[in-house]
Amino acid sequence: MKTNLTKTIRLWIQDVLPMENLLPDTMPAYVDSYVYLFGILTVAALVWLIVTGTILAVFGPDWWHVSTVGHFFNSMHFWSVQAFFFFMILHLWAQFLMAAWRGGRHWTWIGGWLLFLVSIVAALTGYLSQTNFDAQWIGVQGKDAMNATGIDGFFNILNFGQMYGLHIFVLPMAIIVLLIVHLMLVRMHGVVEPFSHPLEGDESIAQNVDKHQ
Amino acid sequence: MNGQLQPPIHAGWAWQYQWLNLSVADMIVVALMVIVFALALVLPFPREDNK
Repeated sequence: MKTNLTKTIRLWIQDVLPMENLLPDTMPAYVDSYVYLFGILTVAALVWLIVTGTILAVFGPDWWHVSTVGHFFNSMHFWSVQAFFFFMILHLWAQFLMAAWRGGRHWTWIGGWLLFLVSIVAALTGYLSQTNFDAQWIGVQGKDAMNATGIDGFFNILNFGQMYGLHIFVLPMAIIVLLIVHLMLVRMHGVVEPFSHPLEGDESIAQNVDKHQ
Repeated sequence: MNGQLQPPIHAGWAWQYQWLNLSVADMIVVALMVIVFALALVLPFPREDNK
């Protein structure tokens, strides 16, 4: 049968990520633990970040500095960041301790690290976008460190427009794209098995389990 | 410290060791993370019988 680009892509998607894997209605028994909730709690915090951040961006600094409702959404954005990093670190601890890169999941692990690093830059640009004395202080204190690395030529933390643009568009987009890839990879490979739960036929995991028993 | 520019961010007392600087708020957050992680490990997860 004649093939074309659309059909090739469709067949590839059906092969690597069938709908049963993309939207499963059951999970392995070993997922019955609160430890597996840290990832989705991080995503939930990100959703709140995007919702509150969009509202802040629409109304602007005059609003979030002086109005009561503006203060409320400013605080919601701040506490969503705290929850985002809180649960992201717990997710990192959990995945590190269960060696979640096993079974061909290395790109999921590397993608998670990329998300973490981009999120740190997003947080820095957020602190610089507050339009208050804290932001000025952080900008002036941090500029020499940036200069020392040579990155200041195209990432100037004293340039408010650049920091704000990065914070409200470029970095959130990067996080969303990386997150979609991260979640697709999780759904493609499934949740990593515990050390005491060898998959039949997977000798590398079975050997690992033997080593740990 | 007179005449020296002071940061507008007042995190309060901080434990200082060489380059490491941890405020009380930092230490509370780290302690909370350890507690939440430990609870997630030990608390039984509610499960359906028909699984």
